Amino acid sequence: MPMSARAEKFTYDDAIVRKFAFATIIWGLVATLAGLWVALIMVVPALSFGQPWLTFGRLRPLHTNAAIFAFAGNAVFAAVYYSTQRLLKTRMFSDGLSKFHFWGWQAIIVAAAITLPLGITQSKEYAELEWPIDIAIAVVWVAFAINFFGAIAKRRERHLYVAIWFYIATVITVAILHIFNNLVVPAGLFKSYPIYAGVQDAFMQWWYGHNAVAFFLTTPFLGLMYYFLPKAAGRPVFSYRLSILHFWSLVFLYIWAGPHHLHYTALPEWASTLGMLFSVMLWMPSWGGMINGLLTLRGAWNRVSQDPVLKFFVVGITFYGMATFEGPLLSIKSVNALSHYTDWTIAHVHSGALGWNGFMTFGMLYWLAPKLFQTQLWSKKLAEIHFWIGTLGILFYIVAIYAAGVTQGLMWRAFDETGRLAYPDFVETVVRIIPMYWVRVFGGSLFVAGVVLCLVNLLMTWKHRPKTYEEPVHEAPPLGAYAGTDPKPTVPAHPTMVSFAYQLRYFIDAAWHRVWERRPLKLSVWVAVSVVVASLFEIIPTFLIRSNVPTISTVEPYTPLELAGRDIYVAEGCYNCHSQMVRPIRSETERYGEYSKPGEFVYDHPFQWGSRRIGPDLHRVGGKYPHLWHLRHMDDPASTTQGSLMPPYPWLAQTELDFASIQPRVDAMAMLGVPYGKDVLAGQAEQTARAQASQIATELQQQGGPAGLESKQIIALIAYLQRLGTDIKRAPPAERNPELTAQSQPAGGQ
Amino acid sequence: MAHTEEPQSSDPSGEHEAPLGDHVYDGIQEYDNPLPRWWTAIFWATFVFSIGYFFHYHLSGNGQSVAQGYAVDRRAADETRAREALTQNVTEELLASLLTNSAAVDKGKETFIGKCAVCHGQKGEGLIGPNLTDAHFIHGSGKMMDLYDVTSNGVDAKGMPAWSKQLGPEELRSVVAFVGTLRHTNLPGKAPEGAEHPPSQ
Repeated sequence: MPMSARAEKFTYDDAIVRKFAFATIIWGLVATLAGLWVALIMVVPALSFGQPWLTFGRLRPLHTNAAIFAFAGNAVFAAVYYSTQRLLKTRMFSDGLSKFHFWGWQAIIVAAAITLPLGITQSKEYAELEWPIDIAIAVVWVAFAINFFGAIAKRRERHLYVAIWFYIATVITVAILHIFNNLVVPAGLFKSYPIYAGVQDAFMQWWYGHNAVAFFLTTPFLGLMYYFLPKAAGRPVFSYRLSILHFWSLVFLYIWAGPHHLHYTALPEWASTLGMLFSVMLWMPSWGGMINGLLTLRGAWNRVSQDPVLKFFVVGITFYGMATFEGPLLSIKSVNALSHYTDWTIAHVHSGALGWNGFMTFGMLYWLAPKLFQTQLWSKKLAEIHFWIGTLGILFYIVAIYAAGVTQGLMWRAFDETGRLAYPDFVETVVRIIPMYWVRVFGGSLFVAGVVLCLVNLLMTWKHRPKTYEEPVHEAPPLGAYAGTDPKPTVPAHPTMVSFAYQLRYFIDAAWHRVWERRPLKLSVWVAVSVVVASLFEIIPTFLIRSNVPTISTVEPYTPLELAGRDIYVAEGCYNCHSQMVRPIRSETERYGEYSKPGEFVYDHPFQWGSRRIGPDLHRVGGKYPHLWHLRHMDDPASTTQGSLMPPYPWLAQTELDFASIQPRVDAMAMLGVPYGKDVLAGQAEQTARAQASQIATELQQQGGPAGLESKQIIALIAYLQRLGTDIKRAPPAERNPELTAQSQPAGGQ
Repeated sequence: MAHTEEPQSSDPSGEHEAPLGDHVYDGIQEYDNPLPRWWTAIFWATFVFSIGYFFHYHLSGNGQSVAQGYAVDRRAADETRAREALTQNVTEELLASLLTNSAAVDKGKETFIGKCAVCHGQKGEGLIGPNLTDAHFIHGSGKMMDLYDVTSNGVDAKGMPAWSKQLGPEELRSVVAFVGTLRHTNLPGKAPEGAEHPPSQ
């Protein structure tokens, strides 16, 4: 190191870390309370009190978004802002950007907390927020990126530590994922349709959804681990070369794995297979992180029993290992056939979210508190209690929900000796697992109690802070031109083979990586290339090969009224409990009807395949019941299905449908290439919708229902439900009467 | 390279043969331990498995696709059902004889309450589906075989499921027997639908 350079003086911005740390624990409490609430209304649906904004369908996205983006997000930012400055020996690029990042992110969270209960949603899991908020997220994220890369640019540490590599991967990849999954055409200030439809929309969504887990909940937390764990343990990291290998293999392999969320669906089988295989290959790269974490503690295990921080880290990393073994397991198609749509997935994500993300965050907060508030942690004992009730809470939660998932999965596929479904009534399989749901409420309460203890502990520590915080001044020389020498393979003058062997040795020794570590631009570009190339390998064929989605001639666009009904379905978050995807598995086709074909979804902007069946699949519900059944069912689900967990939706039969908003929606769909006829496009959408509504209302009345419903929301929803999955049952166009084709297609009814 | 902080405690277990690298970041150091053998071995094994799997299912032409697997299951199930159908010989007389078989009727009533009542009412007086206690019939003329056909095959257009898919042969006959006893009892309920077929027929 050239010692001639004059040392520069600088300070770290810990005020911003304090802000993020408090935001983390406060939103952590909100997120877990929301989780507890949705767990509770699942077993006591009456607790939604007939209020739209208190139903599971609207609040579940609030819970997931709060947990991921508010709790884990703020934790990541606290970790990044604290560790990046120290690892790079510089203050962040701009205090102004830091503040903008913090307040912008909190404003986005508040916007989410307001819009989601109002039913303003894109209905794509973990990407529910509507387009104006999406733009705000992009802006704030770019500000964060400038602040972060700016800090790298003015760093005083030559090489980048492994934590920084993981942060780089996070910043770049999250931006790409967010932008490309949220490309939409607005149909109003709070309504939009994605540019993708059906199979392609599903593919993009799970490319995003899976990699949100990878690059929002995994890579930044690995970065967090690589900084805070060796600091807390006072031990060197176990293996530098393992860091290199598992970093690059994670970055490259993770991207491919998204389609494992879509096994046995209408997604082309080759894509599903790639999703499975890359998930299997991800097992060891993930465990590389776990090993590097746990083995770093060698020689410090004696301290784990006395230090709550290390306890949280050990259990957090162990849950990471568990979840990343289970992930590949669940991605194996035959296992997935059982687990998909059941609570098994819910248990899996909670062992990850509560165990890995939650406990790593708590460990970090307890380690940071004395440093940020420059006093002792208020109560080490309280932190110990938090650790134990938190651990117990997770165990109660996941054991019960694993049992629920496997039980329900096995019941769905059980046949009796005559070849009939053993449990043909879906609700039988729901009633059976309700005791497990109560155990979840109990486990969840324990976890929430732990979060409260953490908040109290942090507040009390903060209360004992000094009058003014000390701001230690650090010194380090600026980086000049690099004067060191790069390791080069010393290749003796030998035949080609020997020379090649030397080259290979050089590559395997990974000494070249040291060069990359002082060239942030090169490192970042290669991260981006890995991510983009891996994405394009799957995206391009999915979009360009026509045979992936064979055309079905009888599939037509939704009528304007059905589209309005579909938007209600989306707004109420029905997809949170109902799938629209019958898999080619006999227990499914026996229960629901013909399995779903890719060509049936070509006008589905957005797709509504769902990921969990708390209620039955709805893809073939069209025509299955009379209109009157739907009316009674939505008003009081228990009246048609005893034991149903569905909340009542009485307001749908009372609220006026906004007919005026239908035309812009149809126009937006037409812009996306949905072939609405001339009549509908010429401003006739409302008129067409009213005609179909009055027809359905009349049929409803004939079936013995009340009169005067033709202008209510329920009619649009019934129109949509009765249309679902019926197109392939119709005769091909040539055989149909052309006059009938022009009319709406009232399915079912009498 | 001068360490700015106290070097981290040396390894008491003595297991680390690997050199401590010269990297120090905010006091954090790194060993350069070799990768665990089992880790490398499993990592390679997952690659080999993946290549083999993809070749078998997508390139070799030997692997069974999901749709093919489903078709095999479907065929087996259809055969089972066809065999069952051969053993059934349901006639008007057989069903009529069940009307006075109180065990069958009671069993049928139990099934009716569990499966049918949500649409046809607790007593068959009609609700979402038609009144079963009047003398009007939408499908057929109210003969036992008419009831059996509608119950067994369903009426897709009106939301009546094909109950033979869910109910075993005996359960199906007994519920038809129970419904048979409801005819012409004229409970107050949903207005009559379909054509009138008085009991004398």
